[in-house]
Amino acid sequence: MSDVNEPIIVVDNIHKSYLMGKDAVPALRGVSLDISPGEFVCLMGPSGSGKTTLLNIIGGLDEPSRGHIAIDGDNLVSLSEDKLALLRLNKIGFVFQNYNLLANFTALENVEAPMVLSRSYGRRERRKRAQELLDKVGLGDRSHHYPSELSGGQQQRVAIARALANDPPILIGDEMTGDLDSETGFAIMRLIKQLNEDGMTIVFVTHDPRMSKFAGTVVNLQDGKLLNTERQ
Amino acid sequence: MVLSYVLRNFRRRKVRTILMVMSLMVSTALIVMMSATVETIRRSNVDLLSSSIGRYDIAVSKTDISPDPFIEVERTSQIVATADERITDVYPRIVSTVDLRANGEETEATLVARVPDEEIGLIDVISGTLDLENGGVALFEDTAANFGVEVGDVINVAYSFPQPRAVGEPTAVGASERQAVGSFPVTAIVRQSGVIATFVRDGLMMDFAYVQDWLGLDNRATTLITLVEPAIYEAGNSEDAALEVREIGIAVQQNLGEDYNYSLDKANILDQSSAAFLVLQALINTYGLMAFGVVGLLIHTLVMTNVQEQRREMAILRILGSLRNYLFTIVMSEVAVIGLFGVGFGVLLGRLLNQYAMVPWIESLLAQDGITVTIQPQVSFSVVLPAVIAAFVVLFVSAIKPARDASRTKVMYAINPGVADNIQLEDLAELREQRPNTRFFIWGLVLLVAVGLALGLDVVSSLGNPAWEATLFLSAILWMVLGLGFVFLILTRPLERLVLFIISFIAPRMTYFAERNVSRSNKRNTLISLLVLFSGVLPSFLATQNAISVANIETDVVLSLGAPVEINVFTRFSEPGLESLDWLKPSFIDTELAAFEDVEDAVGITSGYRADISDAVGMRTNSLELLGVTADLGEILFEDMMIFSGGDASALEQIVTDDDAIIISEGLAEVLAVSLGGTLKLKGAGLDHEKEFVVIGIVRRLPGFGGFGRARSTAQSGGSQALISMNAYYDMITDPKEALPEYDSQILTRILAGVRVGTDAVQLDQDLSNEFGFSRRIRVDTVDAELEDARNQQRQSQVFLLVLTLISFTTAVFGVFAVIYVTIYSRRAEIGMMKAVGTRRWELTGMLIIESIAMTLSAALAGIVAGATMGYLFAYLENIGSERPMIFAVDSTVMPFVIIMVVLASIIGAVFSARRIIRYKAIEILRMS
Repeated sequence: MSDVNEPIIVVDNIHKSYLMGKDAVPALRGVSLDISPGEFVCLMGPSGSGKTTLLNIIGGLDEPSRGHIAIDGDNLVSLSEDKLALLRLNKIGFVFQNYNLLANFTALENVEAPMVLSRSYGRRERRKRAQELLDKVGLGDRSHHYPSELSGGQQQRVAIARALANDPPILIGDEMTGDLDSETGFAIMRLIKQLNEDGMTIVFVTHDPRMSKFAGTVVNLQDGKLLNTERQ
Repeated sequence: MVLSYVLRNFRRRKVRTILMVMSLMVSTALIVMMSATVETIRRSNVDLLSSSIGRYDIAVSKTDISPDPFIEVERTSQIVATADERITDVYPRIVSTVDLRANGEETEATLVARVPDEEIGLIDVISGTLDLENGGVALFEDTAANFGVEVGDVINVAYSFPQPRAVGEPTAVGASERQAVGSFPVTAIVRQSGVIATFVRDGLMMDFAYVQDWLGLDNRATTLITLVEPAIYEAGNSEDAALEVREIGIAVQQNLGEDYNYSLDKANILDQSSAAFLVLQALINTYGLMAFGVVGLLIHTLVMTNVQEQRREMAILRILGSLRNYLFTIVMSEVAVIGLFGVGFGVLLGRLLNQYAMVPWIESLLAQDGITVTIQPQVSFSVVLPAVIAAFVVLFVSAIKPARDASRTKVMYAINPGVADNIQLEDLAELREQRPNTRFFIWGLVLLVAVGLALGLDVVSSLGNPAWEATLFLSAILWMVLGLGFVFLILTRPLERLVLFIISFIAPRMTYFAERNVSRSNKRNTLISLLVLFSGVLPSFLATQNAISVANIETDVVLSLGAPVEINVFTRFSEPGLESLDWLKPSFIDTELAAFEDVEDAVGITSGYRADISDAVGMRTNSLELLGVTADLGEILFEDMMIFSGGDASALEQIVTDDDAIIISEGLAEVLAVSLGGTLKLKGAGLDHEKEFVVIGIVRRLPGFGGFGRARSTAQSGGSQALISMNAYYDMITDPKEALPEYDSQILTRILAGVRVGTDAVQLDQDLSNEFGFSRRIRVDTVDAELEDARNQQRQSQVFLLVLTLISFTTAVFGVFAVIYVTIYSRRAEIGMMKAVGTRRWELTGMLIIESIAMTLSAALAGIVAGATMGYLFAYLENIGSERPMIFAVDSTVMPFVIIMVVLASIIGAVFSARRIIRYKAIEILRMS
């Protein structure tokens, strides 16, 4: 774990272009950003501003065309695919807009899955922790339900519990409340806020200004460039 | 428009399209290849038969009661040649058995003397030159090898002139037998094909004119070889050709008269073989249906996946005004184009396989049997058509549901897919409509098929059409396979758990994920399981039967022969009364057979005499077959195979000397309700001839004797046997008004004997055959030689089974491949998510491999269990009826082969299907899905 004063995420002059047919379409144009441990950052901007691209690069799901990105001291650009996978497994938790839960796994098993992959817990310990995490997100009584038996909000809670499974220092969320009604969305954000208060670094993307109010820092992007950073 | 849309779809889904085309192509190719092979062999059958029994159509010779055993060549040839215009050639021959001596050895061989311009058959000169005109001899390869004779050596030939048999008498007219003896140089050692039957291994060829001179048979021959127009055989129908040759034979007979024998061996065998080809074709057609069924399931799955993926596009087409029929046509056209490519290439591949693989292979097999023949590959329209029709029918049936689903696409799929499955306005009409329940209709049909098969088999077997009989029988087998498949499908679940449990010891983390995916994906598991299970049942069933048969070879042979050596007499005559002329006397055992020191304790057994038997007062009666024995069978019969339910083996000794004693079967004892020590009455030949016997043994099983068992039904139908002494036997078969025959009469039809310890039984078999085979008209069988033959046959069966399994699983492998591909494709989001949370490539691949293995291996194991269970049940039922002890055995070739194929298909299928998707970044996969 890095020093408290050192940024846990360093984004340095990131460029990213996508090939659309024969043309390269720039999505990010020299974005630089430092995120400290325990910070609650919201990436905002209009459609096509590059916020999801930036989030994916921060999460190690995508790689920049140019520039550097470091997570907890590890330069992602120089990591092999397997090492990048291990970094995601141990240091980053993901929450997607459409939950991406494993359909054939119960809520408990979905939460268990990252722990199985990381081999950091024994079988009993794993179960216990998964149950605790479900309790934490308020779904202790739904642990043996399949995703199809849960509401959207409940599924997103399971996804959050899964993101916490390996106790990662960073949680990344892409439009976490996009598919949810306002009330459920606020409940989810309150939960995320609670996690942040417990010391977790949160980076999330939203285009809903109401949700951005939960964040301590709002980073505004436009046309692939950093427009401004607001501290709240 | 439709076609361009379809072709664009193919480009979008290359792998799926290739899979469908390939599976159709391979299955069509295999069926066309097999059908074409049968057709090729059927058409080449005349040539094959000619090679094995002689390349001529009618052989004319004198009857053995004709005063002159020789044919007058010029006059008779003229008559034969003009008897029918379809006769093309007539050649004289002298064909006879002669005694051959060389290098101090002597044997019987077949002399074939033929005219130089006779070009019947192929003669392959191995060494020397075929110069026969000056008394040169062309010796058959086997004969030369047996004698150690080489070109240039001289051999002695003794020819015995045939003596005509007196009419009504079994013996020849005249007292002495005239013989001609000569010494001749060997000018060539040859291998023949079609000159004379292939089974004639010992033989020599000489010049016809020279042999005529040597034997003083001017203008005389023993045989006239007749050829007919080859076009007769080219019509393709064996039965018609055989009947036409018979017609020519009748024409010859009308011209020559009754003094001649007419041998139509080729036509005869051709006639018999025609039914076998029908049966073979029926087998292939049935197998073809099974293979296409699996392919149909595969195509149905892939097309259904395509439809589901295109749902939004189709909804857009509907919004744009497309009619439902148009969407239906798109799907059907897609399948039709796939069918055209798959079936077209399949037919082509089938033809090539037939021409370049099957035909050369068959030729090489025939060459191993000494038959040199060039087979012309035949693939007629009638061979290809059934496969093509079957393929398109299966395609149509497979595509109909996806096409109907496509045509029912709701516009809401384009607007709001989430609610599209809810009831829409357009569903209302359908809900109001009263429709027939097709599900009940189909179930009705299914039930009727079972009844139809049962009734059909009865009808067809009474009509006696072998092709229909075979088709229905094989359909019943197919029905059984389907039934077993569905019944044993229930086993796949526990077997999946077992497989995963075992794999979890090797890869626990990957199994954690695979276990959940496999055990909770009911729909795709069922499909893949059915594909594999159906393909595994039949090979496992046949393999189990074969394994049981292999394991029981020794028991079967021992039970069949009864003793280490069995000698059976075959006679020249089939008329009752005359057949005994060739039977052996009891003294044969003590004199001639005794000369063979390796043979011990020989027991002579009489022919079976049918007699009526009853209890002491005649309340219960039955019939049976009486056998007299010359000595104690207990000394030589395999003791561990004997089961006495009353008395013991000492009865076999007692029976030899006790003329009032009888040993009967357990079944007969039950039918007559008599026990050990009870009295039975037997009716002998003539009037008022009845004799009482005391039961001294009741036998449940006696090796070498099929008439001793516990089946009451066999006894009731007269199939039971009983043993009595020779004196009693003579007494029973003789009318009381006549004198008893001498003890040493020709009465034995069978001899059972033991062998001295350490004897080479196979060599003894040969020695006895050489000594007595022709002179005494006996066939010798020894346990060791029989075992060797049986094992060779079993090995061939195993090869055949492996080929069948390979063919059967080729289509299944495509099925496995396709289902795994579709499964992985439809799970992109899951794979993306797994990658996103940190699963590495190899872990994902391993996970998918484990899933595939668990799904397919469990189904293969269930199929094996189903097939094996059925195999054991059939074998058990068969054995229990025939009183045979049975050793249960597990097949060690086909079943492991099935498992290996399934595991390989799973691994390759999973790796191939996953390789592209897992290469993408997590975010790319998530974006795709």
